[in-house]
This record gives sequence, C-alpha cells and structure tokens, in this order.
Amino acid sequence: MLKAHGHRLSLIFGFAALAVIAAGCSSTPARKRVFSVPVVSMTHSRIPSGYKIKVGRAISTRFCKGDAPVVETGQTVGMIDQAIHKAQIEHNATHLYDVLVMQEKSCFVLEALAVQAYKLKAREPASKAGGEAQWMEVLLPPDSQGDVPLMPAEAPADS
Amino acid sequence: MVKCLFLLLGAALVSGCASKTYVDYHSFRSIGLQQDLAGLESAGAVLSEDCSFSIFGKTVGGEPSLESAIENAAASKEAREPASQTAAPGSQKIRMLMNVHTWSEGWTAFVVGRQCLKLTAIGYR
Repeated sequence: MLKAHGHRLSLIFGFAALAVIAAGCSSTPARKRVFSVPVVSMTHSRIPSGYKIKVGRAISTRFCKGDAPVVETGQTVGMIDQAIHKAQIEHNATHLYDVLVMQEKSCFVLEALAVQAYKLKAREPASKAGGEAQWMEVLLPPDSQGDVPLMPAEAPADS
Repeated sequence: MVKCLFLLLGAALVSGCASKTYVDYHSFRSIGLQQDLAGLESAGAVLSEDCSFSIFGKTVGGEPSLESAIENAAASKEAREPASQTAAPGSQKIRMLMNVHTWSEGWTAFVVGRQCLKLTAIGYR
C-alpha cells in the first residue's frame, strides 16, 4: 500500500514538474538579436560642415507584421525599415545611434538613441531697443524625397 | 451561381493585388559604421553577401546576417583600395554605407541548400 502511495506521489510530482516547465517555456516570448549598428537613418546620410549633433534620449519602437506602413515603400514592406522610420518620425530624429534590433515573434523591436543634426540660425531680435538675437536650431534637411534608388552600377574593375 | 463565383473570384483577385509583402529588411538610406559622419568621401559602389548552407533544411553555421553582410561590404572595399601613402592611418576605412539595398538569393538541391543575403550600397570613407 505504501509502494502504491509512493508511485502515486512520484507521478503527481512528475506531472507538476512538467506543468511548471511548460508554463516557463510558454510564458515570455524570447527576443532574438537581429543586428546592431553604430548609426542608421532612413532619411539622412552625411553630416555636412556647419551642422552639429545633439544626442537625445534612449528610445524604443516596435513594428509588427501586418502593421500599416509608416512610410509607403510600395509592395515590399521592410519591417525593420519601418521601425526605423517610426522612431525617427516619433522623435524628430535625423539619425539613430547605437541601434539594436531584436525580433520578438512577428515583431521587430528597435532600441536606439535619437540624434538630431542641426545648425544654429539667428532670428530677428525681439525689439530694436536691445536684446541679443535669438538662436534657433534648424534640423539638417533630408537627403532627398522618394524611394531609395535601385542597385547602383557595379564597381569598376581593379586596374 | 455563376455570378457568385465571379464575385468571389473578383474579391480574391482584389485582395491579392492589395496585399503587401512583409520582409525583415529591405533598404536603408545610410548605415554608419562609426558615429563620426563628417568629411566623408565616396569610395564607390560596394557589393557584398553573407551566405550559409543548409542540410536537410537545417542551416549550418547560422542564418545569413545583415551585420555580416555590412562588415563584408566594408572589408571588401578596404581590401580592394590600396592605402594611400599620404593618408592618415585609418582614413581608408569605410565609415558609412549609403543607399543600402538588400535582397535574398538561394537554391536548394535535394538535401543541400544555400541561402545568401546580398547587399549593395555606396561606400563612404
């Protein structure tokens, strides 16, 4: 009788252990690292002379399969592209620094630092009587409008 | 009955035409390999790839990655261009890739397959 009781207990413990393991495996979806780069931008590239950099706060955005594109890019929707677009638009950023992209099921999560490339521009003084001219920041304009050009011509052959 | 079929077919066609293809990544305006993006000079077009083999559908050595393709693009350009004697050390390094365009190519032959992530861009140093 004791043996049967012992078997029953071990079965109960075994099932309980399996249930705990199953719950643990199914609880939080694991994030998989996709890539990380120092700088990325969907709208800007080089920083010309005269412009300064202002590094803002850490930001995080998410774009999932099936979400409406933030920026129309035709039939093909790059989910990481859209996540970067979304981050730049939401935080008025020209570039993103220390970009880390992770995949969580059918979503891409982007973590980065929002960066603005800006130029100081003087404004008219408030009154002629005095006071210094107020300076305002003008963001670096985007490189160009429209889609990214198609594959460029092949690099010239080595001489 | 025929009208219903036509309506269903029309609805299916319209929904198919309106659907978008979602991919992991497609194109980027610029990817900086360093945070210093001032004083860049064009180094010409770059073409790179990152490939992996698969056996019985299982990838060997990891899936092709965008990071590896970017590193290969920068490394290939640096290796091709001879270092200038007057240039400062490290000035030949690719610092930014502009107009980055990516796509996938591959083949499968019975149990063996090969998948490549291809990348093209304009390098700047």
